[in-house]
Amino acid sequence: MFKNIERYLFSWFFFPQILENLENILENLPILPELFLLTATLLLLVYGMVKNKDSYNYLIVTEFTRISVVILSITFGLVWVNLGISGKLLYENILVLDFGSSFMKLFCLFVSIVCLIMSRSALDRSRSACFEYFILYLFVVFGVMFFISSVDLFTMFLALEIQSICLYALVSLNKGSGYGVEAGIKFFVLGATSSVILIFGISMLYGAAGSTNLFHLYNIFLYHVPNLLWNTVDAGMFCLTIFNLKLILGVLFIFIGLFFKITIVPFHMWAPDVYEGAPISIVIFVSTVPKIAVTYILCKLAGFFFAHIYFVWQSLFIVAGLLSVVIGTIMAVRQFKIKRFIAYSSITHMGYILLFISAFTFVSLQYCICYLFVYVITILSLWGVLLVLENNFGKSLDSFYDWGGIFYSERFLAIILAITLLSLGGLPPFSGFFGKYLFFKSLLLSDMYIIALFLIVFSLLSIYYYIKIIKIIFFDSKIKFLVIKKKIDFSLAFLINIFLIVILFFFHCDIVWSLSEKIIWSFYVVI
Amino acid sequence: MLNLWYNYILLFLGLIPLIGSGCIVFVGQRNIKLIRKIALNSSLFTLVLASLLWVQFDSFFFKFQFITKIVLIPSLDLNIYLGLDGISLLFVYLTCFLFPLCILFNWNNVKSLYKDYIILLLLMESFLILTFTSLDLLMFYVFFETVLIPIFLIIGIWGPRRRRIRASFLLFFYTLFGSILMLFAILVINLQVGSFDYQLLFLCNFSEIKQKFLWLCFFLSFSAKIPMMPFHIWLPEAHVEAPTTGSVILAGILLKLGSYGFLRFSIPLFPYASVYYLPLVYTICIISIIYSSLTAIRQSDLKKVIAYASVAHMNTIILGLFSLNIQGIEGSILQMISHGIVSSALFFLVGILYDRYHTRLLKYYGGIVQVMPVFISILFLCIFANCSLPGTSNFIGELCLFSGVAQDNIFVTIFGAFGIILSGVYSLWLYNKLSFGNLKVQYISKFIDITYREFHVLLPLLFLLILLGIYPNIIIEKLHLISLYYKI
Repeated sequence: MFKNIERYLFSWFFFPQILENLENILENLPILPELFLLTATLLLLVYGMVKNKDSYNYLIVTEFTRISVVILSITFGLVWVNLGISGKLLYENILVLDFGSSFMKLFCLFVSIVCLIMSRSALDRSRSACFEYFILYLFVVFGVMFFISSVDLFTMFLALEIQSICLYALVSLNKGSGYGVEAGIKFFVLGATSSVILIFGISMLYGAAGSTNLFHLYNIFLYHVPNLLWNTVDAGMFCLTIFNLKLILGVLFIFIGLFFKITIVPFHMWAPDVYEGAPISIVIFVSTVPKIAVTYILCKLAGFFFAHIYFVWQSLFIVAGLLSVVIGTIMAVRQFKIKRFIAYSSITHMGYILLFISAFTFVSLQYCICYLFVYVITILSLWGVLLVLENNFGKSLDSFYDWGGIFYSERFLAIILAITLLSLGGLPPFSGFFGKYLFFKSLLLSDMYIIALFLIVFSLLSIYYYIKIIKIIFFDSKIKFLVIKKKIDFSLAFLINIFLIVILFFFHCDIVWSLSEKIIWSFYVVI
Repeated sequence: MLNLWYNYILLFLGLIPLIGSGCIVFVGQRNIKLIRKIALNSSLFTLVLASLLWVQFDSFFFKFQFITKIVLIPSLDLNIYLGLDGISLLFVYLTCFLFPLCILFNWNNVKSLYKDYIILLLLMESFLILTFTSLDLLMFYVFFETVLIPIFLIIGIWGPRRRRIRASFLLFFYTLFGSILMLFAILVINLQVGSFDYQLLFLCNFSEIKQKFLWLCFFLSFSAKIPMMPFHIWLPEAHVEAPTTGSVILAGILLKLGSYGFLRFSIPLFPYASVYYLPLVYTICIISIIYSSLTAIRQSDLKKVIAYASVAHMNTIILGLFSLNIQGIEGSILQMISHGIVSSALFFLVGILYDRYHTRLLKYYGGIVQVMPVFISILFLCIFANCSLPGTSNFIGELCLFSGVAQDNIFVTIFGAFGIILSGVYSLWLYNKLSFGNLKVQYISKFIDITYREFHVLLPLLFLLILLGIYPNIIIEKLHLISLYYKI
């Protein structure tokens, strides 16, 4: 009787009101999604403390996966409601709420939900996860969400730190293996160094311009660039003109600090080791979500806030981008371990993204976002295939030679894998070609003919190593594996989804196009 | 209804093999009979539609016909834009004509993964049709590249020897290197014109320096496909390592993609550059004709002889194309078609030998005329067509072609015609070694003449060979209006 009343009350009294007032609530409290995520995570932490068991427990991991997926989905819904709000500055201009940031948050949440579900089976195999894993994971997502919507350099730094510190712990989760320890230490030391560089850059910029707020900085760069950039020193008979090193180095250091996070050469050293040593569920996360966030912020900084001092950072972007394309490609040719290979190939792709940004037109930023979507979805599909293969074979497939002739035993997966790899290599008619086409178009639009010609020939080398894997899959002799289980699990379902997206992207990219246009426009709407 | 027919027939034509392969995906691996039925019927249906197109094609209408335009992405100006003129009609018909024969030839000689083989063949057919008909420059590039993936897999998976992997890599990267530069050229064109529409590009003028650069990019891509002299290494390798139908399609259609590209894009879009680079083209063509003919004489592998012969013939065709007058253009197009017929017939014949005796080395054969008379008489016809005997279609083609070249440059004609003599040498030598002499019973003990099915695979090819030799007007009447355009 009592239960019925409760249900009655809940369904007829509270629920419609909440739904009706949700938009009102969000209007008054626009960071409700983040707050909800934080509160839910803390509650989950308390619940986990109660349920705590030291060793790995199948039931607890399953339960926590479900709960965290539900939490993330609710956050997704809340952000979705926020999608309509455009160009709103919050809390004394430290956060911004516009279409671009909301959509990027949605994308990050989607990817993190996918990662969580996909890597469920990998957790069972590595047996290293306990309930802290999920708490840390949710905290990282929380940090990413704040990072995306921040428009103050300090907020940005703090959000980045929340994200990084949790990731340090997550990366070194493979306590048993030597690679895991190496990955954890490397990631921690280099990540901390990058944070230091970032904060140093921020402080120098603060010293030069007197503010950390990006909108203030925008105005300062817009109106006072000559005064700021050159100090005129009255030295008796001469007037010496000196570059304002504080400003220039500040801007460069901020970018370098961010480059660390998206593995740009020469700040890429941690990537292969971390990819190899960290648990695969975390690797999937590290290779997608922080990159989406940081790329979006880089687009925003370079394309809008620091646009008026483009001559300070453009050459850095070009050099770093070119270096990471070249070195990533050359290093990837010799790899035979799958995770290291993916690390180097992602370095190459991030180099492409930097070059997109350095091309520095409205259209090229838009293309950059398009490319990012294509890349993230393709790489997710690649990881998905890897996970399903490992599931089916019941062991981890570290080297490419374990994949020899999987076409003969796992036909469907092999074809998906081939399509994914060809798409990463940028061969038509897959979505990767679309991305590459946009890349060269944006370079040509800003008159970088020589770079474009160089890269277009250089991309042959990157196609070579993708084709080499296809050769291993299709042409090599069969390796007899005992296929342990062939159940269709969550990961396969997601895999099919992603696979469809890869195929259909070419035909649906009009949606992506208009989305990316809106995202880039939303930079400009705020003022 | 008629409007619908005219507007969507080309897309439909391109999609039928794709739909067929999509149906085959859902058929079980073991159900070979059903797979064969679906594949043969879909490719035959394509042939019927192509014949209808042939009938309905108006050869006195200068513009593109049966134009299909579907907007994929309006903001990026990405469209599927298909159209047919005299040239592409011939190539589409050649494609639709060869594929049923290939499927018929592979009726029961693909031992493993039959289903996948057929799926790849049908995919390739649809991509080839779309390549030959597309009028959108970017889409042309997309389909041009996509054709590479099925042929790469066909050579790599079903090739008979271990060396197949090297061959497939050579094929892939030689052609990719060229075509990736073509992508760059296409982007540069788009930067100036703002569109990929082929009919719009006709109206544009490119500056002379730009023309030279763009022409060179296109040239690298197409000359790797033909293949011309420095980029020809992949072709003999790929032919030798490919399964029979793979090399039939390679020689019959894929090589024509290069010459089609010259005809469709390089010459009309960059007229200044094509005249400017004429000496280069002539030189490379002559070198490759004579070099590959001489190389063909000293081969020990049957397929390699035919492969080098097709390099020589394709370069003769390019010689004709760049003579830039009506006789040269029409002759070279006719020669392309007849080379497509003759070389694919020869590869079928070699494939028949290989299916029986599992070797292609010339030294194991001899005196076959005594045990395989029907085979040898068909081979006789094809070999003599290959060295362009009067009465076969090759003769008409080369006659027209060289009379065209002679109007332009007599020295080039002399050197090029030297290739005809050499083609006689290697063809007759090959025929002599195969058919006459003693029967080598120590190597091969059991001989079977060609079967009913194989005979009927070869019969349409022979019929066309003779028909075009006697009455070439069937093809040439479709070309008169188009080739007027290329005349300078």
